[in-house]
Amino acid sequence: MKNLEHVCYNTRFSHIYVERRIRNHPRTEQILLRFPQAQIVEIEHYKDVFNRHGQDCVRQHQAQALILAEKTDHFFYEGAPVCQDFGNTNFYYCSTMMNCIYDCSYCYLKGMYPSGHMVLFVNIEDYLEELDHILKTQNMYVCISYDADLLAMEAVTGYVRLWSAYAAKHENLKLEIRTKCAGHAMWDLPCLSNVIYAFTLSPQKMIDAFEKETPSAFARIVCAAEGLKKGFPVRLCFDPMLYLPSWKTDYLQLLSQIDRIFGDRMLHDVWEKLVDVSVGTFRISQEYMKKLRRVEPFAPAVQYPYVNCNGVYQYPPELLKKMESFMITELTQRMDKENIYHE
Amino acid sequence: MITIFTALYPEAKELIRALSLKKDMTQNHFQVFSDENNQIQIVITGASAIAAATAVAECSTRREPDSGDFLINYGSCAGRKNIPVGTVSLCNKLTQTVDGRTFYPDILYRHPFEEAELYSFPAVQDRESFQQFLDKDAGAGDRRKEILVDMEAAAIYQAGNYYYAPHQMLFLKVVTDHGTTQEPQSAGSGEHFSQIMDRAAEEVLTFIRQLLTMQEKNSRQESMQEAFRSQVEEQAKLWQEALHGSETMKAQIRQMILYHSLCEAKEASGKQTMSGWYREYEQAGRLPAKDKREGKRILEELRARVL
Repeated sequence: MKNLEHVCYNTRFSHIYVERRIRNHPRTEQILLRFPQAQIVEIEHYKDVFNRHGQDCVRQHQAQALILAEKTDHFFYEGAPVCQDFGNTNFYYCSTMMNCIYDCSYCYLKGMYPSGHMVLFVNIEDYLEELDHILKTQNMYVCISYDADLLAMEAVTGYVRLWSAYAAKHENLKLEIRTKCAGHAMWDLPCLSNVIYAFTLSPQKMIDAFEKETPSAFARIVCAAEGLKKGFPVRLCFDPMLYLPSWKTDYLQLLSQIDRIFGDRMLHDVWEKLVDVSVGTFRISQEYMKKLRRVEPFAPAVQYPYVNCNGVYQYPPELLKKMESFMITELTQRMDKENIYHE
Repeated sequence: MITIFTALYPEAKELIRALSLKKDMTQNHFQVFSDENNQIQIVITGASAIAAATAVAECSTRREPDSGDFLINYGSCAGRKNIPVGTVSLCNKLTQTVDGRTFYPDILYRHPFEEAELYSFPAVQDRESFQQFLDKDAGAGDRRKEILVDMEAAAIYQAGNYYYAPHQMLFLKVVTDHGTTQEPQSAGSGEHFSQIMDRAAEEVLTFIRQLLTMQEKNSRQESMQEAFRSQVEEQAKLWQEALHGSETMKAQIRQMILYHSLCEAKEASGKQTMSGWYREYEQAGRLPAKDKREGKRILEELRARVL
């Protein structure tokens, strides 16, 4: 069935829905030029498409459409308790995009959003304007790539370049750009101490099992190594750590792979050069899990019998402790413990 | 199953013939034509939004569609002058003119047709009023935009969305005129109308056959998944009874069985199945558990084995 359906699916962004009010926005026009074959459908509001009743997120991921929209309010949100703040105060995140081009079976976005299509807010300048006001009174730590993978879409949006240029002028702003992507284009941007590139790493076996369409572990590590070599602030995220019966061997292999790739590139004491490392096992709010289990009924990473601890589904406490302790112990042999974050 | 809703018999005539569909004499509200294997049916709804919505509701209630099924709204429509008569279009935007509400079928599958926007009016539009509408409303900003008008599509989407996901509903329209006062199938224009629809049917049939193949495979997969779910449910019930478990405990067991079965299917690891473990406990005289406390102990043992 999958094969036949695969043949029959439209290509990604074969359909682009555009809010009427931003139809003539320069960024809209620029993006549409990249997709000359796309069918353009004018809409009033992105929610008319994104919030339709009864959508099939999993099938939509096979033929993802792009929705170009304007964000009018709530540009920044306070960081959620399940997310790590890395010791920063005024922890916020923002969504210039909703949804991701990757298709990880365990992704909370499938539990959070009613659609598998991707929304891109073209008015990033309004985010920056709001930020201008906030930064006058306080410093800020903002994760700009939470509900999407901004770097994976950089060729289309150019947003990382814009964020980087903005951060260059605002010392009291620190940005985190989290990604599973392995493109090297961002290493041509200015190297700034307040823009952290955070790579989510998983063992290849888990990528094969759970992280459809994402770059390999090798490619992600090579990309991170390249950034480090050029002096960029790089964070490695072993988060979410996922369970397979062979998890210990899998994560050991991943760490050895990192050592080897860093070594091959003559990156000495490289673990110490990392901004920091985060460790965290898979966890998700019960509301999102309820929907995620419905849309991914046959994904082992989703159907694992997690334990509900105060509204958050996570691995049973003994396993969680075992996995996180193991990773922290291994990392401690490579770097200063103070730079290892975990909840 | 693929269910095709058309307003009028002449619109469906060629499809009925080519697909060798037979009239279902058990239906008395709408004319229904179906094949022997119940894979495809055509429902003649009659013209008007209410008739179409009623037909969708009745057919979908009689047989609840599953996630692999499709609803197709096929029929004639008026098109803007830039769309030649006979063109088949797949609609990506449906607007109900009485209240301005707009609906977007999800176009996930490849198709050979042009795409267009469609407006559903409560009555047939003559040439003048159609032109007025195009000038003032729909196409005022863009004279090249492909615009169609009909009477049923928006209602069919709304009714269909109670049963089908947006990607399961396809709206295929054939341009038969550019606005007319006549009923399309009326005397004089009837033969011309049939010719247009018959020609369009050839194009549409290829696509429908492709959907049918996909639907058959979807349906097979759906049955397998349903069988898998039933197995998990049966096993969960068996264990719950043997362990004297509560409903909460049953939910935990079900989740464990589901996860374990999925891992087994994925890895083909040759691990012992939960039913094998059941027999093992049974032979050891531990099932049924002697009381609830022993049941909980066995559940913990199982958890350790599964995880």
